[in-house]
Amino acid sequence: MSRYVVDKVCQRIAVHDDQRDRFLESPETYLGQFALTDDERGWLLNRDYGALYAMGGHPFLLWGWAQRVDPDKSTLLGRYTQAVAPHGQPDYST
Amino acid sequence: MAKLVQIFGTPHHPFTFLRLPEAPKRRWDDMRQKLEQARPDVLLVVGSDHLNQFFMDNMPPFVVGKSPIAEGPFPYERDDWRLPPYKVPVDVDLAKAIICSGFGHDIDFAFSDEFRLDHAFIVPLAKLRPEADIPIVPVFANMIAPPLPPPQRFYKVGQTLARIVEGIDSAARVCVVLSGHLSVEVGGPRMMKILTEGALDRDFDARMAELVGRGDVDALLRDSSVDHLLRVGNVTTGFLTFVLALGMAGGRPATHAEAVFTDVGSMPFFHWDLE
Repeated sequence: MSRYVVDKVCQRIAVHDDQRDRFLESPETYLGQFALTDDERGWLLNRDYGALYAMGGHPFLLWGWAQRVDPDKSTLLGRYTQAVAPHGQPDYST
Repeated sequence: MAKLVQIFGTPHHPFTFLRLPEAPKRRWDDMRQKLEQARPDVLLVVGSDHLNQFFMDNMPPFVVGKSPIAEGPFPYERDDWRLPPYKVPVDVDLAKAIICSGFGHDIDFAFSDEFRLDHAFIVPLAKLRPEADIPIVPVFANMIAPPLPPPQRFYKVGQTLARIVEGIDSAARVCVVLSGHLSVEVGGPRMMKILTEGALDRDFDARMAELVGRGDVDALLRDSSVDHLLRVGNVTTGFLTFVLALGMAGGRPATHAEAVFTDVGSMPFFHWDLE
């Protein structure tokens, strides 16, 4: 598990427009530059908010990333909170 | 000697320039007038960086910004939240004095000559001094990436900053602006509760405002443990800036301390008149 690397991916995309554009243009190519596990890569590609939250991804960064990459902003808040709800408050320290 | 004249504790809600309810609007107006009347020569501004630039590859607990110019916000904050651009000179001499004097007070401040101000700085500065004509010294505190300094450390850093400022051989009038928040959750399951109920934990918010108001240092330090704040809400640790504020005030009761409840969350407004 590489919580730090997942946080790094989310931070870059959440803060920098050019990184977000590169991710959206070719997610697999973009993620290829990071030392992620297969699971983590899959969760990021599938926007699996629940799994990323449960593994201890930093919630502030996860939410920032989700806002940048989710295709449907109008329903995001509800879907996101529903996805993370079963997982309580995981330790997100790195 | 330089004089610490007023301390302002404010929210930095990102919706401040999108849709600010009436009640906090009045508090901001009141604080802006108080700052104007205080006639400060410099503003010491304390806030967090929301992982926009300081990151877990090299995370400093407390950083003093000492480049000649400070500027913000980040582009996405401008686009998403309509935060106004803000560009202001930095009082580099004071910034350096804080860093150098810190060593003698057992506080090793990190420093940065290349930084940007995020909404923790832009919101209070643009609300309190939209003219951007008073030099600042920005101090970034890590309140978002655990492991965090404990509240006792925030309090001590506040005490130390006050001693350093008041020991400087200058006639400068110094105001302090610190931003943070009360109970809050971002990216966690209870994020929705803030929008549906107006606050994550009203009892917590009211109690913390009361403790700040009466300057109850012992109770505030006890109730501000990092574990407790994280249980209240996953980024409630942003309250720690007000522990630092109370340290700067020497534990004195605030002149005004209030948790303002709105439909976009609770907002802290704290003020110390030290003159």
